[in-house]
Amino acid sequence: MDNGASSYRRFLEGDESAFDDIMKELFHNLVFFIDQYVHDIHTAEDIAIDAFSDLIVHRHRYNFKVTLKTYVFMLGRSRALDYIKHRKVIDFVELSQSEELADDEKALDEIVLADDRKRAVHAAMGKLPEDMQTVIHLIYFEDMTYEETAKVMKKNRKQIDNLLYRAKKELRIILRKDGEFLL
Amino acid sequence: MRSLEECKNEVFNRSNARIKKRQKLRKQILVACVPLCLCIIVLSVAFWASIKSGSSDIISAEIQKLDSTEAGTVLTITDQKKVENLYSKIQKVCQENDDCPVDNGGIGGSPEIPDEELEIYHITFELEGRGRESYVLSKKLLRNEATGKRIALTERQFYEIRSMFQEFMD
Repeated sequence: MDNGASSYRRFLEGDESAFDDIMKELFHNLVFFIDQYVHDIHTAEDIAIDAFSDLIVHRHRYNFKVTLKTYVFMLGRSRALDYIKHRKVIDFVELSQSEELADDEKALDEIVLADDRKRAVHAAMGKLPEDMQTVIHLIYFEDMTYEETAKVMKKNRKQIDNLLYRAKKELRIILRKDGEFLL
Repeated sequence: MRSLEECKNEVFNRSNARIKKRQKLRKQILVACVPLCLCIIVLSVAFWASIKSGSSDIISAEIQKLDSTEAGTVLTITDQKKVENLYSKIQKVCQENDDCPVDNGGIGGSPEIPDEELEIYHITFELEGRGRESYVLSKKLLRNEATGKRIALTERQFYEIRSMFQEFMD
């Protein structure tokens, strides 16, 4: 499947079941990606729902020049940054709810990162700056190309190259300290 | 965390709500714009009409001061504003004094008529599409040459019109 573009085309032609395919393929990954920005799984889910809603409300904005996955991740990132910008109050979560949140995050973790190795790398990534986390996530976990990653992060190819180089360097140091050579 | 099916339903619910909201907003904008456009059209037409009515169709005027030999210099005035002022003054006088027409037979003057009242001025207005309108001012009487109607001017009216003529002649 070409990352959802053909499903989206079917959806635009009137096949509503095609949207199920798109959601199955992209929804959890998008939530996981957005969670790295907002650090709240339920908010990430909410934002992901809004991003998918954009696919329905603004049907003709997607021009098929990039993959649907890239486009959806661009929407998600944009909405996540908007949310962070407009968030005025930091919500305090009760301890009982925080356990529930942690369980939900773990569940999502298991859906998206089926591989133990990926989980270990992802855990180590938490120590990196946000941009580096994002670039590693998109390239190694979401299998995006450098160009697609550049589009999602609104940077150019050269900047992604540099960021990835530095991120890998930092991650190696972290993983060596943790005793694992995974990259 | 919600199931995929719940999330999908939520996506469709929110999408429908957003689409309805956009359609409602479009209708509101349309409802607001139509009267606004109508107002603009009406105001434009009114403005255009007022300009049109205000615009003059007077091309020029010729004034001639006739002395005893009835041969005087003809002065042509093309200054639009001056011509309009003069024409409107004469029209106003004709309207104000309309209720007091004077017999065409003429009026005998008093034995002590001032010199200025003995001056005779002949003025002709060139009007666009209407040809010419001629008036003669003499002895405080303003006569329309086309209709033959004579209007008796008050002292003030006479001196106002005369001073306008004098201004042009100087």
